[in-house]
Amino acid sequence: MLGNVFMKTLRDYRYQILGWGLGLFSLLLVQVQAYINFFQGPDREKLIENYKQTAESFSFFFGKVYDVETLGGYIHYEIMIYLPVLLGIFALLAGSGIIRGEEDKGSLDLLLTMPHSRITVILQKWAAIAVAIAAISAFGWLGLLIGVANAKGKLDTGAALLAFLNVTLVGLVFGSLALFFAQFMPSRKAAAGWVGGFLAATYMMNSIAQTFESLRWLRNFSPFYYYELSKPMAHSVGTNLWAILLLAAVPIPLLIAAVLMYFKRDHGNVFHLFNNGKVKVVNNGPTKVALPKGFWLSNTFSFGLKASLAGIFIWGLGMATYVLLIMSVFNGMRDGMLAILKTDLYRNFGFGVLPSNESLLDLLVFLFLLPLCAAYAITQIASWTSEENNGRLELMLSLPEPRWRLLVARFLVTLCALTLTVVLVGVFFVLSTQLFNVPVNAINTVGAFIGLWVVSVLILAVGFVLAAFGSGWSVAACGVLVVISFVISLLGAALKLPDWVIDLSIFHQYGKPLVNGLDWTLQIGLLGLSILFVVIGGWRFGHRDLEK
Amino acid sequence: MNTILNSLVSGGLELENKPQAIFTQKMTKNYGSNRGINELDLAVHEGEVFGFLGPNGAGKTTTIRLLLNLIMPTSGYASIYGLDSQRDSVKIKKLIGYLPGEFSLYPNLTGAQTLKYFANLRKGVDWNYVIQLAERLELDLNKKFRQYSHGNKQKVGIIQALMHHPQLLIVDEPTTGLDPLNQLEFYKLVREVRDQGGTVFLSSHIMEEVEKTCDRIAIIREGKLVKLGNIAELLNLKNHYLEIAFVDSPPVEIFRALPGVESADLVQGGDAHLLRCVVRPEALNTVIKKAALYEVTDFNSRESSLEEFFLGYYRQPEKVG
Repeated sequence: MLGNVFMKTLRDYRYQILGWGLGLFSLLLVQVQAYINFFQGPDREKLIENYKQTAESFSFFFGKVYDVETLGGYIHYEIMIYLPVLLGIFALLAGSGIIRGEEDKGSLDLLLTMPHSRITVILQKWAAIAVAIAAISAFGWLGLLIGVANAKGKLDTGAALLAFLNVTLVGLVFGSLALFFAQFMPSRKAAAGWVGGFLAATYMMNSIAQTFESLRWLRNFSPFYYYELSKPMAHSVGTNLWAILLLAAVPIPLLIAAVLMYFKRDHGNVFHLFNNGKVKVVNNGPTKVALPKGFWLSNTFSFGLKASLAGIFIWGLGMATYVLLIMSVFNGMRDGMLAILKTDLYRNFGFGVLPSNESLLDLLVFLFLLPLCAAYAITQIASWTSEENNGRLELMLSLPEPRWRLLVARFLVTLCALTLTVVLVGVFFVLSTQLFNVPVNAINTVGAFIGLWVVSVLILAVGFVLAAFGSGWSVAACGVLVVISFVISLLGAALKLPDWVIDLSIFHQYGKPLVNGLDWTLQIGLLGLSILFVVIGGWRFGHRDLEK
Repeated sequence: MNTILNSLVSGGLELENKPQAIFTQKMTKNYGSNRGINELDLAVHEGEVFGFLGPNGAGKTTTIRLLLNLIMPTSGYASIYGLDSQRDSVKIKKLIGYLPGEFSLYPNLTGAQTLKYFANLRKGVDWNYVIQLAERLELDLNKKFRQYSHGNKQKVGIIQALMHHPQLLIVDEPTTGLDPLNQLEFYKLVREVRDQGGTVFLSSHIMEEVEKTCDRIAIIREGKLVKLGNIAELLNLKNHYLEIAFVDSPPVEIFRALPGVESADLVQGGDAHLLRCVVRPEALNTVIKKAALYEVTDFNSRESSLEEFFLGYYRQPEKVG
């Protein structure tokens, strides 16, 4: 695996390929089983009709639905709609990392002293991430095929292959775009951040433009539009060869531009358009060093909180935008959706049957806010563990502060960041209910956001206690726990899992506070559990070896 | 050189009576096979510059990380200024300045912001002294950390280790990446710490650096202490390399048999017969007298360098003791 740059790069991504790939593999297996459990029973026709109605109700966001009565159409609707976003995230992280990430770390310096041209290096690395993206897709495809074979379902294998090829191409677009951005961005984080923003914006843009006629022209700038022109597993749509070819072609100019910029610019510097690729050097002579001011430099807590501000706004405003979008179309689709909530399908999914605004918003808003807040909590845990993994913690721990205090300070930073994010979304929620005239129970609304906050705090606490036992694997472990917990909560009833297993899911414990009010005793219990985890984490962190 | 050595020797003798800044007793860190440190006994006296040497993977950084309680010993004990390295870790860290061998800081903060942050966390740092240190090391504090060269990043690390006038300075490969002028400035800073009554624990690979700055040294190999001593005494232990040209071939066995002769070989050098010997200082007189019994045309003698001396300990397991 170390024979050349291509193989070495592929080796660097082996665990990520396995992690993402097996996750996707499992997801497809579960979804096929879920389809069989739902739709192969005696009430098939009725359930499919309910499901279609639901899907149509979400068409303002996910687009028109096709062939959901078939396994292929169902898988497209349940997985393939958002899969390019997931794979796009992997691809943009990889694309921004292969050159700029290695420049940040310093490992590229040595690689470039080897008898290889820069072009060879960048092309081999790009080829490796292309293979990595394809490999992850292949895991998904295999999961689907094995799931189908296991459940004795019917699926066009070739169409499924084309569907995963379509996803791979979107991934490649974002990977190449990140590589391109990384040539004129000062760091990997900056490049990944911009391309991540572009991914989120184009996905939202494509979704919103489906509802608003006047915005439809914007879809032409979104890779997701060309992706959605093909739905190989939904036979009534099929494959749009031109759209697939276009997606296949887009990475090429991006790659060529990235190669040219990389070839022209100074190693470790950004590409400059008007100076033959080089950064202009401006010598202003010696400058006086002023005493750096700012409250944020005064302690670990304020320092960490300032560093978290960008994340708070990005995540908070992202979720708030989603809330605004839902509220803006809520009254238009309320009646249709309220009828759907009474159907058997939703009983099977474990949703409430009360036809109210609260039930509907619980489904439309909180079902999504929960995993998003959980994901945000995991990014906060990752930020803490990266302090140790990149060697910064060694200097911090040479300062005269007990370890537990540093851990608690960092936990408080993440807690505040989380609180501010939830409050920001909550404020937008309340304001938008007023703005778009969507009456909801005020006390239950406050309860729903407090519950959301408590669940996220518990995830943070679990992450911190895992990180106290070892920083290297804790984020992945916490992520797996959260995903399992979410899948159990969402599909536990449909998969006929025992009640005690479903009760273990933190998302299940969240319940439906917007509909039923908040179980305060449970919240106090969960907060107590969180405090216990932080205390254990503090103790363990104070007694273990620093890894790096 | 002799004046410096004499002062170091006398300084070293005075040190024996001073309290211990660092003390370890049978300190062990077990990572599995061939790693970590094994029953390390060490005493560093207050007011000395102590060099800690050893090949890569010998256990130098592990020792430092144990002293700082970044990792916990498998067994044994360590104290700094009489304080338990684990129980009194926070008190200890008030007394020390630490420069790790490898470190990372905040890429988007300027050098000034980084140092101000650390100064705030330490409390009581005189900012003027930070500026003074930056000027002495020729560091532009207005640049962002990610824009610094390797050497300049190292300077930020050095300043953060020194800015609070630590009683004990622990530095791991401190001059890595520094240019020769800045290396000299760093040596001055080390001497200033010592002159102000502080102690310096310096882990290094650079023999010249050790020779210039340290009062005593310890050599560690495979986690075990193999040599501990005053640097001036160690310099006196250095072997002499002799090259004697004879008209006729001398009986090399006679030289080999002399006490204090480490090795003796005869080679042909043009018309002359060259005898090359490695001789301990106390045997020099005997060898010269023996050589004078034969017709000598040329004579050269040189001392082994400190580097050669240290390398001997790095390489030869039988010299342990």
